[in-house]
Amino acid sequence: MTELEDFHKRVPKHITISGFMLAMLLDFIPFSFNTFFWLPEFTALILLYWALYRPQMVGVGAAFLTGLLVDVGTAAPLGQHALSYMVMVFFIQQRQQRIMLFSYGVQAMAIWAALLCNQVVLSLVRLMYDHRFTEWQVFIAPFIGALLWPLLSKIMLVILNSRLLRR
Amino acid sequence: MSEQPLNFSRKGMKSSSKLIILSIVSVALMMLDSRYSAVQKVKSYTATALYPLQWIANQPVYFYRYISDSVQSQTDLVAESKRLSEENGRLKLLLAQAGVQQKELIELKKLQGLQQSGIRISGMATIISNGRDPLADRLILNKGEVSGFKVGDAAVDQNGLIGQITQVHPLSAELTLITNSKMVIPIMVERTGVRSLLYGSGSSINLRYFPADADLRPDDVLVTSGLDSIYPEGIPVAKVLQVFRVAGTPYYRVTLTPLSGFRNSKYVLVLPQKKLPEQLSPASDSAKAKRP
Repeated sequence: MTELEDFHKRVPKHITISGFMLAMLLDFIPFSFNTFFWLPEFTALILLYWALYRPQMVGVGAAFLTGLLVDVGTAAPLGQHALSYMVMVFFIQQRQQRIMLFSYGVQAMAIWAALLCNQVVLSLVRLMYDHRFTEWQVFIAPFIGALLWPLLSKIMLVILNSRLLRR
Repeated sequence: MSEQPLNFSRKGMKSSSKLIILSIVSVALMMLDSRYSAVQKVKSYTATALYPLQWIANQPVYFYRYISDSVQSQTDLVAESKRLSEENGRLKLLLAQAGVQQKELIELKKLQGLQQSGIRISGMATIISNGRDPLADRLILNKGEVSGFKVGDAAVDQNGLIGQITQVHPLSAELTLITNSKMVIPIMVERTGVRSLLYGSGSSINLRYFPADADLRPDDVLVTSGLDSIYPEGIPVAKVLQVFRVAGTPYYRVTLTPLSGFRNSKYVLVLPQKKLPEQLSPASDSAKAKRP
């Protein structure tokens, strides 16, 4: 077990949960699509982070629960985000050990693929449900999410580190 | 904190089987959503629990609006006030005229033994979320069951009909726009009184079956006809842009533009449903049918 993994395991649960709440809060801010179509889904990002660094705690089940909450919060058909998050987390978890060894740049590629997977499932569900295809701009958001990944990792490390140092 | 290390003899389900089972659950939820009341109940509890989060999420937007409102310049305000007082005067005049006409109408309706049904309003609500999804035709309102909203109530913005409330939680409600593909609205042409049905078609609205032998011109305004218990009579819905006669079908092909602002409007008025008229006895029905 690497030191990094051990470090993430010592993070208490309530920190993880409040991280999720903060991400959902950001997702619930009613930005209009026309100007903010490039904003990535923060809940998806934080889900990926914990699925990578703490696979024992955050897995497919957690993705399902968070997805349902996001569905209710954003008035999406119940189960839409749950399904897409599950697929995304499953995708990343199958390769979790390998992705952890890579540098941030390569990790960001994996994140991009996962987010794209998420977006594709969302669009497919929408297509089934409403018989309409999403606007193509939604596929920009995964790029931005992947670009934000190194930053997010650094920020999380700083936050978690400062907590551990204070003790 | 003790967590087992990742090994091959892990307890619990394999994540692939978990994925399959939970996927089936979520697809089932998608099917049952809005069809099965227990799902809706759970959804409304969850929505109530999430309301604080949504409330906080809205604060930056309110704050931004507050700031941008307060820094508006004096001249803007003076011009606005002038314009508003002009409009107020004009509206007052119209109101006076409408009052007279309303009175006449009431008298006429009384003469005919019909009930007067004015438009009532059960409350104003703010749209707090339009969701991330560009195609979702649902909005979330900041008031719900507590303010007397019910499933099926119509909602209007300042320009016209915007949609119908499709789900009510204690503190919030979901509004489905008239562009939703499941919406059908009974309308009539304001100028001629010809009645028809308006269908939501995803991104816009559609007048599919308007008989070509009736009169319809560009710039006609379509208003609700009041032929159901949901939408009160006379709410503007859409404006006709173009009308084509198509050879081979008995219907016009019509391009419409909805009047309400949808994404741009911030406040909506919610109108309660009419009570359904008492069941007419078959005798009176046939009597009515015989009347010329």
